[in-house]
Amino acid sequence: MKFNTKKILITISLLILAAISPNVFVAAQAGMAEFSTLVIQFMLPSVALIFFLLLLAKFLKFRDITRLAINGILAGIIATVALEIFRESGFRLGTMPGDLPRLMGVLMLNQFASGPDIWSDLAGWTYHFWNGAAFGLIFSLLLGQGKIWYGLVYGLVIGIGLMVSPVVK
Amino acid sequence: MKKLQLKKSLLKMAVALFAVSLFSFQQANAQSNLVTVKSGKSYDATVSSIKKGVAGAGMMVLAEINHGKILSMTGLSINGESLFIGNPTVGKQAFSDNMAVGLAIPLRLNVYEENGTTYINYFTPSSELGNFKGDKVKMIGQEMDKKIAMLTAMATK
Repeated sequence: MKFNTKKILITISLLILAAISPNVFVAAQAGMAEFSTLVIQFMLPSVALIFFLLLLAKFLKFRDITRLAINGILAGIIATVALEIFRESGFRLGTMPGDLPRLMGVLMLNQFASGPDIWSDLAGWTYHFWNGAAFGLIFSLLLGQGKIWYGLVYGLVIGIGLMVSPVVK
Repeated sequence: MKKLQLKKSLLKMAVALFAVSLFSFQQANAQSNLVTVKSGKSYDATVSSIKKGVAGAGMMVLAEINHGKILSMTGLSINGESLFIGNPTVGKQAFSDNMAVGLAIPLRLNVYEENGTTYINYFTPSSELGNFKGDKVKMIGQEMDKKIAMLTAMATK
């Protein structure tokens, strides 16, 4: 089996960069730094680098990487839509304690005191869907198309991870 | 033996009564410092009138906490907002007299709607600033009492 060092480096870099976005909110909730600061210093550069690496992969004709990455991003966004059907209806029925995307938006724009507005909602929802895309990207690069039960286990692991993280506390 | 037990019980009752009366006194004292003004205007009009009135009284809104919008993220729908008002020049005098007054300055006005009626409530500045040492601080508190009373009266008309 022939290893392509460039391909491995790009894949590992993409995995690390994709893990940054979901973790900045957890880090902020753990009191490590303000969410808005972490977004500017870590999340936005990670998003820019992911797209740069995807362009690089395309330029180097690593079609398998670009295909897996794009499929993963799209699948993650679709999975977030599915999640939202339960989360949003749960919130409106009063079974969820808070509206997490809106909360993330006000924290991201550092405007908790004045509450959410259209821009904070836009920021929060974009972050929420990007997290879905990042989880999809990680899954796709690690497991490829995989089987349905892989996805179920992966989703459960993410859910349990959220439940035991400082976000819930 | 029974007499001793009776004495002990009476003593316990006396202590309990004293504690209850002390607590009630503190509650009443805290209540007397709380001023609630009923507004004849809508919620939005009251908030707007306060903001205009604050500027007219030579002060400024230094910060706002929109309880209604914040709580909308938990699914609760209310109208409520706290405005922190002050004047940097007056603040300079107060802080020069006592560095600890930051707990009571800027002053906080709370506007809320309950059963379709809008209210403004606040703790009197003299009671808040009265907790701190310094003649200047106390004097500022008394002056602010008058200003805030005038401001809320105008904003609710």
